Amino acid sequence: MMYQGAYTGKILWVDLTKREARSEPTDPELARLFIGGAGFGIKLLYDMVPPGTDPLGPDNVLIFAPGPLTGTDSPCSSRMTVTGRSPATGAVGMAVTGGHFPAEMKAAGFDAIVIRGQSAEPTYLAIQDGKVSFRSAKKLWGMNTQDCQFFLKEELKDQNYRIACIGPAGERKSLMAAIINERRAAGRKGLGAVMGAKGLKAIAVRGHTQLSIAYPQRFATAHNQLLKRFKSSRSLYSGLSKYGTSDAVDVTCELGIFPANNFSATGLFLPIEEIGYETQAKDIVRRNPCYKCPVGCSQVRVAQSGDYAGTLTEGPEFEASFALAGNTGVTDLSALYLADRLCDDYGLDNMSVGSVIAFAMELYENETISPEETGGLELRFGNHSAMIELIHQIAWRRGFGAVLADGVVAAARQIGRRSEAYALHVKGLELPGYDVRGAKAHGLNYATSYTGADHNRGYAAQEIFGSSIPVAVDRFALEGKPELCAWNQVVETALCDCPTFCSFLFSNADAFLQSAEPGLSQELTEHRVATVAELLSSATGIELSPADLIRVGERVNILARCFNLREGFSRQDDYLPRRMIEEPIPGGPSQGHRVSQEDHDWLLDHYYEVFGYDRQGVPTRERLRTLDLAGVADDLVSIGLNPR
Amino acid sequence: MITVKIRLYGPLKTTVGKRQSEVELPEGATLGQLPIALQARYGQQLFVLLGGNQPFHQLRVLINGRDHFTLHGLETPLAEGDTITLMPPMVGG
Repeated sequence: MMYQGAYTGKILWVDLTKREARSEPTDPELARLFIGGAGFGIKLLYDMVPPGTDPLGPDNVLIFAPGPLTGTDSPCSSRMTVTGRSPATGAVGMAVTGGHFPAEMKAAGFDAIVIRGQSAEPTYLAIQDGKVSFRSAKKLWGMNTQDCQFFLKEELKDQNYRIACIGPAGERKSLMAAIINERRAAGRKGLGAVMGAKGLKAIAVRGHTQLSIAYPQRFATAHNQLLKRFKSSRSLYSGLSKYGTSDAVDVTCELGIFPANNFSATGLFLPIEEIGYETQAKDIVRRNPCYKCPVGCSQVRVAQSGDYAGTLTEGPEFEASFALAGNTGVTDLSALYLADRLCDDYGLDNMSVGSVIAFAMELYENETISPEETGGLELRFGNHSAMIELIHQIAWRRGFGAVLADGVVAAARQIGRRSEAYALHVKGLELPGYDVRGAKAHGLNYATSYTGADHNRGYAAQEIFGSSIPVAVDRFALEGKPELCAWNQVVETALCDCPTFCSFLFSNADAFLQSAEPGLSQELTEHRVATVAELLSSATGIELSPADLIRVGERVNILARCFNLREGFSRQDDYLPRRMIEEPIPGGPSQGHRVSQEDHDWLLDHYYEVFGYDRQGVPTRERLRTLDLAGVADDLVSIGLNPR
Repeated sequence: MITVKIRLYGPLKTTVGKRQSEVELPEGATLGQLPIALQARYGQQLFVLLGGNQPFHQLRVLINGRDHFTLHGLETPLAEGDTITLMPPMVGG
C-alpha cells in the first residue's frame, strides 16, 4: 500500500568517497513493514552491511532516520534514530536523539539520510530543501560541538539551520563518541566515531517541506486524545515537566538500586540530598523542549555553589547523574554539571565516560593501577577534579585518558591484570544507571537488548516506577519477567523507536499505580497501542491495526538480533557481567539481591521461548516467516546457524 | 509500640517540613493505619495529601524499598524499624 501522507517520500543516499548524493523514493514496502526510525535503520543496516564489515571503515553506514510522525503536529515526535554497526560492540549500533534536528530534517525533504564511504578530507553536508552540498570542514576540525553549531549557522548565513555534529572525541574515533545536535546526543555505541572515521564533521539541515496528512480529521481526533491523556497523567506535567529526569535519582535511591562506586557500593551511598531532584531543581533556569513537545523535560541548570559554581549545562539527565556522580562517588553538584557539559561539548557519551572513569577508580582503589600509570591523578571515588581532568584527557586521547578513550572493554584489555572483572558491560556497552540485581526485568533487558546494555530498548517502568502497564510486578521476582521484558522491548520499538515518539511519554504518561486504579491496566495497555496505531494510520494512510503495530516491534527486534547473530553473537553474549551474577548488592533496600547463574539461565530460556527462539537464541524459521523475514532464515543457514 | 521511619517527597515533605520522620504505632499495626497516625502528628493537611479516605491514593508507597502492592497492600503488617517511603508518582529515567 502506498503512503499518502507524513512521509516526505524521499530518502537521501550519500557516498562520501565519491562525493555524490542522490535522492530516491521511500519504498512503500519499507514504510509498511518498518514504519521509520529504528525500523528503517535496522532494515537498511541489515541489507547494506555484510558480516565482518569494519565499523570504522568506508563500508559501514550511518543512517539518520526520524519517523513518519516527526514534523507533524503529533506531540513529542521530533525524535530520530542514528544507526550503523557499532565500533564499540560490533553489534547493531542504534541511538536515539530529539530536539529540533529531526523535524528540520523532514522539512529539508527526507525520511532518512543514508551515509556511506569515507571522505579524504574533513567534510560537512549542508542540506536545504532537498539540495545537498559537500563543504570543507577543515576549519571546523578540532572544534567542540557547540562552537561547531554556532560557526556553521554563521557560515551558512541562516540561524535556523539545525546541525548534528561530532566534537574532538569523534574526530579521534573514541568508541564513546556521540553525535550531538543542539545539546542532545545520539550518545551511545560510538556512532560519533563512525562519523569521525568517515571524515564527516557535521550535517546541517534546513527546509520548508509541508508534510501532508492522509486523513486530517482522524489524525486530529487521535492527536487530541493523546493530549488529553497527557493532561490526565499524574506525573507528566507535575513531575517530568518541572524536574526533568532527575527525580529518578531519588526513586532509585529509595529502591536501593542507584549504582555507586562502579556498582561496588550500591545501597551504601544514597546521595539524595546532594544530587537528588529537589537539590537540582534549585538550579533550573529554563526548560528547553524538543520541537512541538508540550512537556519539555530538558532543563538548563546553572550551578549556584560548589567548586565549579557558575557552570551552565542542559541537563544533567538521570543517566548523567548516575554515571558522573553516583558511579564515581562524586557529590559536588557543580562538578556533575561541568562533567555533563564537557561531555556534550566534546561529543562524548556521558554514560560510558562516567562508567569508564568509575572502572579506573576502582582499579586505583584496589591498587591494580598505580599513580605512575594515571600520570599522578588520584583516582579515588569522589575525587571530582580527577574526573574532570580525565574527561579532557579522554576527549583528546591524552595521558591516562588515552587508555580509557574506547570504553571499559578496550581499557581492560590494555590494562590487563584481571581488570576485566571490573569492566561492567553487556556486549561491550557499559551498564546504565540502575543496579539491575534489584530489578530483574530491567536486567534481562540489559542482557538481551540488541544494542548491548541499553536501558531504553525495553525500559521496565513497572519495576522502577511502579507502573502497572501492562501489569504490576515485584521487582525482585523472576516469574513473568521474560514475558514482561519481551513486551517492553517490542512495545518500546513499535510505539516509540519507529513512529518516532519520545519513550518518556509512554512510560511516564501512563504510569498509574496499581493500588489507585484497579482494573485500569488492561484498558490503558490497549489504549496506548491503539492510539499510536491510529495516529500512524491517519497520518500515513497505511492502515495499521494495533496487532500490526506490535508485529512491527517484533520484526525490528528480531531482525536486529539476526544482524548480531550474523556478526557472531550468541547466547553467551546475553549475560550480565559477573558482578551482577556473583556479588549481592551490599547494602540498602535491595541488599542481598543478585541474578544468580541459575536464575539468569532460566530468564534467558524463557525469554527466548517468548520471542520464538531456540535455546541458543536463534529465531525459528516459522517465526521469521510470520514476520515477513523468511529470507533471513537462509542468511542464518549460510553462516551455519540452521534455524529450526 | 513499634517505631517506623517515614520518608517523604514532594508536597508531603513540604507539609511536614523534613524528609524523614518517625512514628509510633501499636504492635501489629498495618500500613493502612499509618495515615491516621500521621494525621494525629502532623494534621489534616497531610492526611488529605495522603489520600484522605482513600489511603495513599495517587501515591507510591514503598515498605523497605518494596512497592506495597507487591506485599499485602494496606494490610501489610509493619514491624519495628521499617522504612516507609511516600512519594508522588515520579518518573524520570
